[in-house]
Amino acid sequence: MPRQNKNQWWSGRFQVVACCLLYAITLATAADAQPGETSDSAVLVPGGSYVPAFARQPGKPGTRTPIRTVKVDAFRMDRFPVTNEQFLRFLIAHPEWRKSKVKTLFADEHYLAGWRADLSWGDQQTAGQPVTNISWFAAKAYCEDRGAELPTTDQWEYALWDQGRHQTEVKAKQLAWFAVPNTQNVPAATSAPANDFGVHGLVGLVWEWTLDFESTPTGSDARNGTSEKGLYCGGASVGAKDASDYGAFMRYSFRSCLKASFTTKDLGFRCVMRTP
Amino acid sequence: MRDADAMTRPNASVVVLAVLVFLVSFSQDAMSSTATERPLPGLSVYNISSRWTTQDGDFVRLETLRGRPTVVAMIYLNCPDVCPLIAENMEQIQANLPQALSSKVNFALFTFDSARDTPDKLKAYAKARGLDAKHWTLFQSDDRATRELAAVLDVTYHKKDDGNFDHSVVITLLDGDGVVAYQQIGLRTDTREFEAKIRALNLNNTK
Repeated sequence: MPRQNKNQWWSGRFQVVACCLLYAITLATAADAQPGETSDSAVLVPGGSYVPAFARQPGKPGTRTPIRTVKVDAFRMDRFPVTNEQFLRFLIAHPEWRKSKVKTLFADEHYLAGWRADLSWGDQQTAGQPVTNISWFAAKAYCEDRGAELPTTDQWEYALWDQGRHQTEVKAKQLAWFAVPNTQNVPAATSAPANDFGVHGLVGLVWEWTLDFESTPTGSDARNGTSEKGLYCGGASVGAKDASDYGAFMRYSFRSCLKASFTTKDLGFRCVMRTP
Repeated sequence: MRDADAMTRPNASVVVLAVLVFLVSFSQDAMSSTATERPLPGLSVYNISSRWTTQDGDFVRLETLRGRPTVVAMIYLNCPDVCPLIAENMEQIQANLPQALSSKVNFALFTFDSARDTPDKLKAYAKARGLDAKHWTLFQSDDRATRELAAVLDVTYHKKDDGNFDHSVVITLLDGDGVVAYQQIGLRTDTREFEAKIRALNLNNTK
């Protein structure tokens, strides 16, 4: 009897060791494929120009504000939104951003709402999901800690514009995503396909913070002393030039409704870096 | 008898509550003299860690404004029309305050234009406008700090291709700890509401 127990004990031990080894191997091999802070976690988005959705005016050229083309310099962009696992590593190094420590100026009461504790995400969440319930301040701090930045709205929209490729599909995917109830769990970051720039999941995973989320350029001078928020926030489509691109309109609308301390279940972020 | 009991119990708790409120307010009075030693409230704008250069070339954190209420706005010097009006609106607020009150309030202007508005230019601007250096401070920092300050003050802005800015017009009243007490959106020639908000901060103990 004791002998048998010993055998069981050894086989149990072996299983544990084997599991650990397997896990280590999986981690090592997965490092290349998973988003992380390795050099290939970001892709080069070549410079170019695009026409922001709010400035597109199909069918009526020159009748109102001239179509505004925005020039965007080359930059590097994270292939995936920042995940729970990546954000956890940031929290380990930066206690001031843990949910129990964060200043109310920088994050509302729903900051990391799904997390069980300061350093563990919730039971319903996974390592590879985009981290959400993140404020602009926290997202910005994370990117800056990596020597990166939040993308400007122009950089983000330009990356999605993808030099005009597959835009019908992008619009359709955006609309389909709007139809998904936000009670549903956020899919893993790596589950979203890449566009031709190599950037994954700009639409279809989560909303994403941009550095200048609060500015909704209208092409006109906003010098009458009123905030531009009313233009988009709340759904008035007065400022949108291309009513057919409802998805783009919703993105600008959503952003202009945000405040930097806001956090929601389906709002995450990714970072960009300057090209050397 | 039961009814009488039910009546007296809440009364007793009201008395206890009143005593508590009295004690708490008393202890807060005692604490206000040591305002700068207390940790900043979580909502304080002064939790921003960025550093700014004043018109006199001092390199400071925003916490330097702590202790007195501060009237704050963001502007830039190249601004053709609305920014001078923002400064003017703040000057009116200052001018219309009774002397006893105006000596207890700071005024601060922060520039959007981190590239062009150097401390020297800010100083020349303050001088040209006749802003009294005892109560007015003008600040410049980098793009990152500017974006962050705009975010906490809920100011929207957008740099245009010509280097100028579209921006919202917001004049913010911060209390002595840097917590937003009031925000005026747009310009107003009638400064009475702003004054009422400053009075509401109860500056009796402010030096």
